[in-house]
Amino acid sequence: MINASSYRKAFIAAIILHCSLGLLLLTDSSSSRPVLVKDTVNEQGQMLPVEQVAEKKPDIVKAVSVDSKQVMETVNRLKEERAQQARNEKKRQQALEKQAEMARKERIVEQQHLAKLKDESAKLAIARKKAIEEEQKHLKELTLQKEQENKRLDALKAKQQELEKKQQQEAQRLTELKKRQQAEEQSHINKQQAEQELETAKQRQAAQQQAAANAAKQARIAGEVDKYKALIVNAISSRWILPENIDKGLSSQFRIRLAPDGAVLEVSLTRSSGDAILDRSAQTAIYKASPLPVPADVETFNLFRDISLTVRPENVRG
Amino acid sequence: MQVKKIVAVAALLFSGMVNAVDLELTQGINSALPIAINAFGNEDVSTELTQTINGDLRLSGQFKIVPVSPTDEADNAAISMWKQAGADSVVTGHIRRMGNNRYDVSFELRDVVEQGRILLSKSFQVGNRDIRPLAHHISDMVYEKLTGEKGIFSTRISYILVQRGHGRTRYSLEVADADGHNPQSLLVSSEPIMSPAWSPDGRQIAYVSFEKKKPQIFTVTVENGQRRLITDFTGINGAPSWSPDGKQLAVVLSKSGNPKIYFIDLARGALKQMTFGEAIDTEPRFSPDGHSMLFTSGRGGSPQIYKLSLSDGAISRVSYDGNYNARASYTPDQRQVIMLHRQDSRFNIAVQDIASSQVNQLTFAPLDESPSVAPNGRLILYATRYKDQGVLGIVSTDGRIRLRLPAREGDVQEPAWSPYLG
Repeated sequence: MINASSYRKAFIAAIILHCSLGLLLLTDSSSSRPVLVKDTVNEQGQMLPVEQVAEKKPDIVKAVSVDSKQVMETVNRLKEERAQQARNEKKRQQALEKQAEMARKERIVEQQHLAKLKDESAKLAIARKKAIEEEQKHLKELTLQKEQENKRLDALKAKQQELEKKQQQEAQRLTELKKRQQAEEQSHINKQQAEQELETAKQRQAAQQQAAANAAKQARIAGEVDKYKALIVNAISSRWILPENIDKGLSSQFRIRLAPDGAVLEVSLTRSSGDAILDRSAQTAIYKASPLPVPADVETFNLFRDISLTVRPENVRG
Repeated sequence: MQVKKIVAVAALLFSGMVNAVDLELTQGINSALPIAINAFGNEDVSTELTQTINGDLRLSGQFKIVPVSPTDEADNAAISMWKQAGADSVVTGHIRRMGNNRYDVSFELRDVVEQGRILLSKSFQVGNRDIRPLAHHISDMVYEKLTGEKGIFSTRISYILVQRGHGRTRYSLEVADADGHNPQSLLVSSEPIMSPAWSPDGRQIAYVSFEKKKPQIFTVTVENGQRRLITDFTGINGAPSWSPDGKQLAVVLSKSGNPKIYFIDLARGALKQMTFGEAIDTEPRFSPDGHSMLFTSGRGGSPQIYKLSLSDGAISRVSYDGNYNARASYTPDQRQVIMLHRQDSRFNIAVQDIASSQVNQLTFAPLDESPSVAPNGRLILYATRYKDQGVLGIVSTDGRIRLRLPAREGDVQEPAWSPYLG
């Protein structure tokens, strides 16, 4: 089943997400900025050094001439210097022109690059527009779907309401039935109470009897356990042929598994005495004593299913 | 969940501990081990082998042979049959003739009560004449597996055989298997031979010979009969006994009056007197650890057993029970002394416990003598009389079994049990 409310939430979230995405795409202007920055950089003038050169004209006219020859020489030298300066100036002008040419070329390249960039940004804008259109189309589809879904949900709701109505009717019927039953019970209640009291008294007595019986049983089981412990030890002892000259300080331990008829199913040596002969002599005695005497009562026998036997060659009889 | 699991496991363990029945077994019985021997086959060699093992195990005193009808296979039916017969274990085997008097012999020792689990399994190839030694070897392995002690069935015994007839007497030093079979005369003489004593390595026997009409002590090598004269003093030269290292011989000499005990260094021939005084001292016997020596002395008025400590020469009396105790020797564990013990007018074999000094009489015939203990200390070989003839008897140290060994026609005297051989 689709949970209507959760679906609605998801739907609303999807709409919000898409709208915000569209807004972001439409309002984003960060990509046009780098182009403008590059324009401002290009507009910075490259001609400033030319003005500086013009200002640097030397002020030679103020010089005082004393001797014509000297003056001539000086004039000549000045002429020469001027010519020299003019040549230098020309050279500089040429260099500057060259630089200006270079700058112009660079600007052309830059402008070409700019045009390209503008082109690209236009392309991008078209693509974005397309994406937005598609998104809007998709949104429309989604709203359509949602409407359909809502219709379906409404139908479901209607069905549910019908069901609830039915249930309510059923419940009503039941409560009526119960009321009738209670009425009937009410008629028997005095009788029942009397009966119940009698019953509880009986139960209490039975519990007391049960407790007494349990205690007796426990005592009986304990007695049985002791009895069969002795019988089992005796059965093995009478068959245990002690090896001669055995060290009386030795001891080994066995685990014996018994079948309900007392048959020895398995004997395992859980702790060896270190003397293989002693170990085997005891193991032989256990097997030979099979079937061992065991209580017939299942509950008591269960205690003897798995027994541990510690063996110590302390005494010899016979 | 995890906690619940742990609690459940702990509860289970705890309840298991509470419910488990713990038993304690502290008493057993003193009894021979019931064993069955399944026939190795129908042929004569099979019968010989089976019977030899049977005789050995019965002789040991540790086993009760449970008679069973022979079966071919040690299958479940056979195992339950042996179990039914009361056997704890069973020896089974087969003999296959390889031609040319050679046989392939295989045997198994099985634990009957534990569903026929195999305890031992071996096979051998032997010639016709080695069937008996092989049987003894199998007996030794079975004995050791089931008792934890070394078997003595491959050891030998020696004794003096006296055959009288046609106005002359024949004395011989015989060497036979431990079960009395296969006797061979090592020495034959028309004059008495006495007191054979095995060297500790079992290769030589020291004895007293009257071949020169006077007693002389000799040693003879069992393998080739080569002899060596040890003492030839005036008077008594008797009762030789080897030290545990085989380097010395204790002897009784009366060269200076009453019989006294001397030690002879066999390599250098040096003589050293060990007991002194007027009383008769005889029948020296080293303790197994070589630290002391038992001997018979009349110094107390009647023959009794004394002990000479070889480290300090101190002499202490060992036997007090009765007015005649002689021919004493230790059991290999040195816990008991085997001796000739007179009760009333009868000479019998008795064993005295060193710790408690308690004497336990083992035989009850009119005249038993010359007890010699087996190397495992379980059996005592002695001379007894049967139908007016001297024969060999064996009694277990615990007195549980007593039997006579087969011997040749004639009087058997002074048996001596060899040590473990090879």
